[in-house]
Amino acid sequence: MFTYQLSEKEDEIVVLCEGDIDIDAGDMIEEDIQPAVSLRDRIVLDFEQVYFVDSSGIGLIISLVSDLQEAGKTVRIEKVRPEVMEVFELLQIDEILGKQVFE
Amino acid sequence: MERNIVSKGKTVAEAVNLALDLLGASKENVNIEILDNGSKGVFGLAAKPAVVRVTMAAAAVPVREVAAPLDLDQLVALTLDSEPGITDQVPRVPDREESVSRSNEEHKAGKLWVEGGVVYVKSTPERRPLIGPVKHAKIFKNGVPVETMEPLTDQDRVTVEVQMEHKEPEWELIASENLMSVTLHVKPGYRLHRSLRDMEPRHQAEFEFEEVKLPIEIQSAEVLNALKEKEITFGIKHDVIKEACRSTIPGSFLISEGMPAAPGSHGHFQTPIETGKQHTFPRKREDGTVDYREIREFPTASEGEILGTIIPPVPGVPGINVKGETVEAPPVYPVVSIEGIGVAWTDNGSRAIAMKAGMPQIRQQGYRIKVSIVPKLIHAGDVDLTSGNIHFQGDVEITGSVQDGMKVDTSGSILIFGNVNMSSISASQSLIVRNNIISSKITVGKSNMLYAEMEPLLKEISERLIVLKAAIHQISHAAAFKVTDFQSSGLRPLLNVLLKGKFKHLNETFVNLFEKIEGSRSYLDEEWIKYAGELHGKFLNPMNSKLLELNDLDQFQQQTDYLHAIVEPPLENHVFAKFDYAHNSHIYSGGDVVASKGFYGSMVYCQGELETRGFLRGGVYYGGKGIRVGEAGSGGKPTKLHVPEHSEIRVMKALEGTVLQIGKRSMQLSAEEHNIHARLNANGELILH
Repeated sequence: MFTYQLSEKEDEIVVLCEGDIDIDAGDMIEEDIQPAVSLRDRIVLDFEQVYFVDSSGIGLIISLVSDLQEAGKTVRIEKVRPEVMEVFELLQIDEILGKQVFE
Repeated sequence: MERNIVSKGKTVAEAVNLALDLLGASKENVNIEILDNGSKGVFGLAAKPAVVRVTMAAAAVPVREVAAPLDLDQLVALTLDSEPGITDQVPRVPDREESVSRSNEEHKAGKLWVEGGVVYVKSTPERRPLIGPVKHAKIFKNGVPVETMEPLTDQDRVTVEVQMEHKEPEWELIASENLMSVTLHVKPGYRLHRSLRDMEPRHQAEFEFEEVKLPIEIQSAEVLNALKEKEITFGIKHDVIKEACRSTIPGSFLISEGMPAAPGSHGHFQTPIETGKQHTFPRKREDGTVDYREIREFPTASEGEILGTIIPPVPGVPGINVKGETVEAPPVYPVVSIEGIGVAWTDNGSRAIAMKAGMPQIRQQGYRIKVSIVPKLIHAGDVDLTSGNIHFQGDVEITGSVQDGMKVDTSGSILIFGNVNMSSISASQSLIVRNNIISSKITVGKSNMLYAEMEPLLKEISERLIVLKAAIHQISHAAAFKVTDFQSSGLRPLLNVLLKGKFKHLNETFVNLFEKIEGSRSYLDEEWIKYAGELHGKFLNPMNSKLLELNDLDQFQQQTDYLHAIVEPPLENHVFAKFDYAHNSHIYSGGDVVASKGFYGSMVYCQGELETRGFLRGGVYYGGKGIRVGEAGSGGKPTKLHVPEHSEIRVMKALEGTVLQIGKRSMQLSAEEHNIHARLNANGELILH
């Protein structure tokens, strides 16, 4: 089960993700999150409460971040749990999205 | 005065008897010390003599004086000749000395000399002879070793104890790793006997020694024992062992040899022997080059014709190693037929029959044989603006000429009865033009060239697919990774991520190969087109909805390996271009290029051999496997012949100014040369003859 909360700050919007980023989270990411954040210049994805991912979910995150980057936005993924980070590293996600996303 | 004698003989008794004879004494009056019991040796060859020292009991010394003890060396020297009676000379020594000394009193005064191994001294009040230590022997003065220069008087008794050298033979048995041979490495042993040489009277002793080196043989019984210990029982060469044991120089001897297994033959595909009036396959000459002269057209098969038969493998005969164990012959494999187009296999898949007429194409890859019939297009008349260009999957035969700016492309071979005039010809296989090529662009053996380009790509894909599968396995086992979506979406989402990130380079290789195959569709077989389709569907189209699973990757890997196996070996595919005469044309060939008459102002690049009995006048000619021409060069236009480092250029007659290049070395002829056989010598220099 995946849920999220948006928290607006002065110059950025933070998406607090909670649950698994998987194939079932697809619709929510594409249809809710993407339109909600696409007007802001700086977007932070908070992964502190993300415990599991699957390949579809990763694909969605990659296309979300890539789309935002292409639109000139700055995106960061924060507080990734070590187990999830392991998966990201195995897939070399930082090579695809750029290392600055995880800094 | 104590006298002793060291003597040797075949047995101890013989040695003692000899010593008693020499001393003129009987057994009761002597002390006998056995120094060596001796040994019989094998076949009496390696016999070691028995050695004894016989000392006269003090009271029994006979009146007849022998000035110094005889020693072993003296005897060795004598017994070496082993002529009976020679020993008799020894006791006479003192007599001779007496008479000689009398006649040479003056000459000997104040000196010492050696005669028959005995040291004599004649000192005078004015002068005393000197004696000192010497190499290879110990000098005793009255039984005391001499360590520095010492003067002598007549009363001093000097004895010389000569040192012997003795080295036991060394040997070693080495069995080869595969147990097919045993080598005996020997370093022969020897006994070095020295005896004191006669010395002219002189004031200071300068002893010299006679040296006799006696070989010590290796006991062949010991070698045989060692073989037994190593369990070597087969193929032992007793005569060589004997020879090795007797050898006087170090060496290695092959003393046992197994019987190697006789290899069998793999299964193969045999085409029927040609009985027709014309040769349709190029024939190999005795020197390994190919004779194209008889080729007038490409082979054709008619419906129902037998194209060939699969010959079953013949197993080899097992051998025996030096331990007597069976050595299996290398395994033999059958060839297996693969379904080809237009061909049926009968007789349990051993006989290939043409189901339609066309050109038979035989391709063997590893132990698989694929025979197909390539369709043939016969174009009657010229190819020109009215007929249009020809693009055909198969062989093409044109009974006329190819004219003005037309194009002919095929995935097979092309036979043109007329000329090629200002046109472009491209054949995946070979080309025969019965007449001439003028101002045209020719490419033959295109598939050979394509194969060479695709080989590294296929190899990389095959290698990286293994890594890709390992990566998928690893990620699937990561703690935070859910594999639930594999059920509904298959591997594609994961593969998309991997090909974007970690396997980005593999993705580029996929694209590269895909484009290469697509761009050369007309030169490649159906299997390549199918492969390109799979490649695109599986990896290059992220939106493809077909479920992708791990065994799809395995299957793709198999296809990749299969194609790689086809392109990897140098093709035994005799691709060639043959014509009478090429003028002002560009010719690229993945195989050989043969012109019956010659080339004028052309540019030829061929990976095989470039051959003409005619001439090369002007232009640049490259032959990957060498160039053979009748005549090269021209008065005006530059002519260059080029081959790679290890190939050769042969020219019967080359005119002044012709440039020959081999590897990076090139040379311009400053005068006409005949019978050129240009190549690089061992120092990398270009030599002409």
